[in-house]
Amino acid sequence: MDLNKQENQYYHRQLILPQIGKAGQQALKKANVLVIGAGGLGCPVLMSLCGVGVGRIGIIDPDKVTVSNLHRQMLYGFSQIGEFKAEAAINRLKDLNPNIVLNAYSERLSSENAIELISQYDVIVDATDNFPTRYLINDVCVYLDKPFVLGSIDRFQGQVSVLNFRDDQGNKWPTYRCIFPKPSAPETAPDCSQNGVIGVLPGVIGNLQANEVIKVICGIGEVLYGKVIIFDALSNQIVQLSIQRNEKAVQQALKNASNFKSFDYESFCNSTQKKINEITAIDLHKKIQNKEKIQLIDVRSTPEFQVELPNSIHIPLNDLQANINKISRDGGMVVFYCDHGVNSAKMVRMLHHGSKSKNLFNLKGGLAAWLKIENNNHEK
Amino acid sequence: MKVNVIFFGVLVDLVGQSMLTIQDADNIDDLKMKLVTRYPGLEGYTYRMAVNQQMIEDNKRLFDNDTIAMMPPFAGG
Repeated sequence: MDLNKQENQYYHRQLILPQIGKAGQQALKKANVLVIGAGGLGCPVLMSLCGVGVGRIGIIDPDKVTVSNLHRQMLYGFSQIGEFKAEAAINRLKDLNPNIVLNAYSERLSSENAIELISQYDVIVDATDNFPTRYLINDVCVYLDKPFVLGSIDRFQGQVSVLNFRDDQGNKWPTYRCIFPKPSAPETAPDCSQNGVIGVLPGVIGNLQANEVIKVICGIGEVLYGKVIIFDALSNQIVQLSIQRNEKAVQQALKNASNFKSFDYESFCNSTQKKINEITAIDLHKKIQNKEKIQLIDVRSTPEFQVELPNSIHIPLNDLQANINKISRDGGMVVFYCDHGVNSAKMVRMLHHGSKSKNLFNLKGGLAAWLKIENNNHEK
Repeated sequence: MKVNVIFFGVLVDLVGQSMLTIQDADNIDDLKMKLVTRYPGLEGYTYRMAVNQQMIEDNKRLFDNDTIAMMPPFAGG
């Protein structure tokens, strides 16, 4: 795979590095990398892999650009709000480097499409924001024997590791399940939309991921397998922990991957959670239209969406005890809501410790789900 | 004898600080018991422990000045 004149100019600064050179650049040009998630981590990963000249990059993400993405997801601007991220990313990346092939998949990675999609790529980047997809990526990569580069973040800290790596001697290294065989209870591991994140953090962690992808492809430096690093943006500390492969945990992944299409990763990752009553946005919409008597409780303290449901009362999550008497006790339906349905679920769980809670419901998916229905109604 | 425990992610919120010194924990099980007694909420959390940067699978004897890291999974991306 020879480099054309423009490529020789474009990549000049890295071609003169002895660790990359022409051989490294050709290896990059031949490489196929799939980036799963085009959000906080995905944006820096994509920009760096595009710039370094990975020959073919796949981007899968089902989401559309929203205003709360823009402070950290630098592939997008106000003019892309409402566009599919995978498509918007490609439009920007094409301009950054026209010498590479880009494939967009504006869909969710699922047990239906994962094997077919991942089998087309050599290195996989986990830039997702949820556990069901992380375990799904792990299991398919174990099944297909592909290395994947984990990145995950929480407020000011991030984790990076190269997982399921096979070294030159053919030794296989740890997987995600070797570190965390079982998923966390969702309420103990909130994501960025609930817990917040500082904009630069995914920039740092995503670039560390891209760096590992480059090292894997070019066979240079020390690849981060058999260890996980944790970066803390506040203290500037990087802690590196050695991890071991656990064959029992790996087998668990293999078993799932071969029966994959029937395996429900969502319920696997929610199985550790206490069950609560939930109502969908569609059902709540109908009940409100039918003028049924429902008490609506907004539990947000820093709203993302500047809207609220009609006739709501406010009881912030951290102020429940002081306001507990405001919750209706006549046995009628009470629906708690927040932006994404996570903090309101927490409040319902807290109230479940007491009795008489059959009438307490969480709005599933929160206002984000509610607004989707309103938007659909407007479009009709 | 004392050991240093460093916490990451949500565990920092639970404990209220990122590092603690614990006296007289002879082994990992003993340390976990002491931590759960002090922070009962810890039982509901998923995390892995590493002794002197080496992730451990089972109980392990601890020595003076060992550093134990407690790492939960992070969801965000």
